[in-house]
Amino acid sequence: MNAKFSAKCVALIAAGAMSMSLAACSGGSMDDSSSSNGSAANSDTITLGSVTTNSGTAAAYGEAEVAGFKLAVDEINAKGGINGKKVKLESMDDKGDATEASNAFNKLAGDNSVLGVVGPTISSTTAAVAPLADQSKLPAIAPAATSDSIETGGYMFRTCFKDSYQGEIAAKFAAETLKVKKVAVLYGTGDPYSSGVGKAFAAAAKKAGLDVVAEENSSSADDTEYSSQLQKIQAAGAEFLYAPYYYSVAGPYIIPQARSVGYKGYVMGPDGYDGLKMTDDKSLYNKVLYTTHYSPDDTSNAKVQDFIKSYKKANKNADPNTFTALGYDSVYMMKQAIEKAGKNATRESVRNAIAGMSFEGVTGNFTLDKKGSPKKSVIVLELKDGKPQYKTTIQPSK
Amino acid sequence: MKKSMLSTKQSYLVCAIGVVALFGILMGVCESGLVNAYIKGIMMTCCIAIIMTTSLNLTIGVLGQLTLGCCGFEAIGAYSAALMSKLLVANGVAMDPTLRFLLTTLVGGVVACVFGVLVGIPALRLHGDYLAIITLGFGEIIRVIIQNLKVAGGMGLDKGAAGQALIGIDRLANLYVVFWITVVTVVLLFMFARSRYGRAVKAIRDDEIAANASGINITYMKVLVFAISAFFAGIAGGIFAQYIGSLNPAMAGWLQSINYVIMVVFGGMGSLTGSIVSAIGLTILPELLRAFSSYRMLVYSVALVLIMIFRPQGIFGNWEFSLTKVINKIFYPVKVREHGKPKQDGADGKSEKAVKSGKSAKEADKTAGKATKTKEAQA
Amino acid sequence: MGNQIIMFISQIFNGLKIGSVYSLVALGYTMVYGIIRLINFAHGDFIMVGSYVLMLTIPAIVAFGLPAWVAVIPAILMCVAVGVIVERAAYKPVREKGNSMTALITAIAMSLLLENGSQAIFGADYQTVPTIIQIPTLSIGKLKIDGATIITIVLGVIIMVALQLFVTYTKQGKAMRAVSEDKEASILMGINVNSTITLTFAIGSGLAAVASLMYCVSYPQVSPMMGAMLGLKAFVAAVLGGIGSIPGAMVGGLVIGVVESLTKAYIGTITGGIITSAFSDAIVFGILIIVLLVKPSGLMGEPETEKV
Repeated sequence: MNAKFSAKCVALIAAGAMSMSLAACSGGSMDDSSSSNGSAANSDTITLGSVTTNSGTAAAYGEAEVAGFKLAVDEINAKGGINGKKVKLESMDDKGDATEASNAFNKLAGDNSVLGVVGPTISSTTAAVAPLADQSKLPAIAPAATSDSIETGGYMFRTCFKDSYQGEIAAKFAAETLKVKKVAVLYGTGDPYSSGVGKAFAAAAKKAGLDVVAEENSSSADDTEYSSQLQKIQAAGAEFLYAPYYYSVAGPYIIPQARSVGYKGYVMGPDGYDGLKMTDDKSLYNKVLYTTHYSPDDTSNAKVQDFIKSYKKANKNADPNTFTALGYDSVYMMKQAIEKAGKNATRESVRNAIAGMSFEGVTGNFTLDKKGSPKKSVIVLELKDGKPQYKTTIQPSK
Repeated sequence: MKKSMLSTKQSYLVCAIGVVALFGILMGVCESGLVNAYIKGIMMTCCIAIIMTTSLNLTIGVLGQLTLGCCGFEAIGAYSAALMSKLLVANGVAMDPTLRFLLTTLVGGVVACVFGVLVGIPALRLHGDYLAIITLGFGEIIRVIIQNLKVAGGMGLDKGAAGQALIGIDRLANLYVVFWITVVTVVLLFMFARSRYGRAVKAIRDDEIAANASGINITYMKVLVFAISAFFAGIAGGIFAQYIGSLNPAMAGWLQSINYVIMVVFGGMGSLTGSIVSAIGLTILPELLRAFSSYRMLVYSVALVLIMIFRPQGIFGNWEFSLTKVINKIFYPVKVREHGKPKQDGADGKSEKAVKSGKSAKEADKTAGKATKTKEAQA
Repeated sequence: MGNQIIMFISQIFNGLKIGSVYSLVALGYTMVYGIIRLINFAHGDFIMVGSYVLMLTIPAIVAFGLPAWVAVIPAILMCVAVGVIVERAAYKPVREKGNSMTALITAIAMSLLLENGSQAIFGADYQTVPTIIQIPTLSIGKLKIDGATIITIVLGVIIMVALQLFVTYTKQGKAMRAVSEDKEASILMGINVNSTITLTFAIGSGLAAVASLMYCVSYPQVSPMMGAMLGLKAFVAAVLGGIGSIPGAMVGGLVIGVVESLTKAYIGTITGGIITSAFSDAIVFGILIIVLLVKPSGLMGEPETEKV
């Protein structure tokens, strides 16, 4: 009797409490739109947050981006800041993990002095952060997250071109500049970047009237052995191979293995080829091309040489790479937007200033489209004895 | 008895009140705006880690079999829940968001459970090192299959593209609801571990051949435990999907699973209290020490080896926290020493069995209380 | 038709290229497992250690005018040192106190420790290993055979025979077999169990260094995580061959390599595109599962019976 009674009590209390929670209390929801709508108006500094991948396998990208952020912020502060206010950079590491990136972004969103965020570094973390940016109404510019799927049209923007665009440009380049007929594509299905660019290339190549003689996959983008697939590509008679992989895989594995199975045609890749890791025999890397955002030899853009000069001065003569350039541009995009938003800039007014903005930077001149991605010129580099040489700049169609 | 200690029923009540009180505090801090989205996000991550760790502890600690594939089941749960949610929206099913969240999460759990049985029946014929490796293999296979499924990429369903992250999942996870899911999970797991089934499972852990000889159906028990673990891993996955909003097949990788194994081993194999404490601790610690976080895995691996050498059963061993015990200790300091003697308790004309079962249920709630309490502490 | 056959043979050789590396790694796995019944998760990471040593010492060795492959000597020394330290500092104390599960967790922990330790020292980025040997590609008609593959297989066979002879005929080898049969009884027979196990680890780790040499010839790049997947696949090879069996490891490695290659080459055509070459990893683990369920003793291992 007594036991039954207390069991009922327990059940009742639990049920009551649960129904309380189910009655849609806003506090438990992860939407936090109401609370933070920060304005930096009353402080004398502007805080920019950054979320980048500084540990794990993509650490090299994140480190380069942070170097670009720091250079831009130092330059801006040396010239008197934005709207007369000094800029402070609040850097966070997401370790390449979606949950960590969300936590880091939420931390920045909860800090009312943060006006905008530069980052995250890679597509998977950016995909997790994009809805958070919309929710907390904190604008973010990802320097190098190229995946098509992160577009929201809200508070998430980017400086780089997107995967599908890059694949299309490569197909256009193969058809119009190299004038090849038989092309092949090899990509890792497990990796959104590799498969995204690869599929876009295959679709665009077919559209451009090229003969796609082989479309091969690997199970991840960090395999070591590709000879089987390359052998088939070689046997199919391809003159041009599009292999969207990272610098660490294309350099030491794919290109030498392709040459060793007897493939002598072109190998082309996306911006992941930047900083390609090469074996000692540099002759293997002739006829290797890649699309990228910026080239140190690009003479058509005056900003490039200034950027390289000031980077070398600040970093003991080290050379900047593409990610540094994209990071550098991202901060300047923020600057331009905050200046436009004026003295009393809020997160929302900064967002509105970024949307549709036209920008002239180290990585080209561009306008952001409705979904927050730029339509911009793409630079093609070709390797000559292991050294990237400026080949051409492809302007966006239309 | 009425003068000495809390009765079984009273302790039931005390725990329920304890849990509700903790929930009250949680609501208080959230509603008053004391905590921002960042802290809420961490509390959510803690809840997910607690569900994963406690359910994994059932296999590792109670059954005594090391599995390295728990994140495979988490991923199955996550993808099922996310796709189910998209399916409901695509078919125009109007539904209260909380109800949709509960339904899809449950679907995630059930699908993971089905796969748990499918994987468990063949895998559990093996044990020890081989079982660890085979579960690792299954986890990897699950990862490869997910990344090649068209519906599991891009916007999902008809707009799917293999190899892409699944994005645009409605972020329906509500911290209060997740809190209660966590409480229920811990209570159920605790009750299972202390039930007749749980004792049979422990018998298998301690001596499989002897357990078999005593008439325990070993295969059935093992698969049952495996399926329960997979079910809750799927639930955790469902919550994760609807908290984070985008999914990547990499979440099924074995390195992710090892993270949870580390949490279980740190806390103590067989101790749900330990799992809860270490899940919370190892989630918060890297956040508190962001500078240290690049050396996190280095420190963990050294700590893991030291624990294996000096305290192989983990920090808490199989000790469980009990609110009743604490109250007894505070209010009836003398009697506590006699607590170990069941005769004293059972003298009130109750069968010994009743006392025993009452006690186990009691402690179940206590553990739940502990779960939430530690969470509050950090909020 | 002729082209098809040449293609098929080429694909087999492509498989043997990676398979011969798996074999060398699997030999190390099988040595350790055969004696102490421990899956040495860290074995793949010993290869990573060896590769880093190669990367660092090759320039100096070449500067001395010696051939680059001499760098395998410091690599062997380093790997043996790491292997023995891991055994003495971690595995031995755990073996004495814990059960097989704690031993396996320790092995995983050591693997994580080596991976993250080298990440802390060398950074997470990939680094290129200088060219070790230039081996000309053999051409037989249209068929091209990678020279490194042949050398790796030959080396593997030599090591396999040497190990088999060592285990069968030498005093230490007999001691190893005795320890694997019955630890307590071998103590009574006057065998120093601990030093025998340490010797086993030393040999296994030394083999890892040789494997790292042949790995770097074909795949000249190092990174802290390089050993993880390599180790896992080599483990699958060891299980397939029959874990504990020395010739089994050799055969298992080659078979896994060939299966991988043929999967990548033909599975798309055979299944009409339902299963693509992207599934090759899943198929390797599928083999592991089938072997464990159908014939846990593998192709060449001895069946084991459970003792009470």
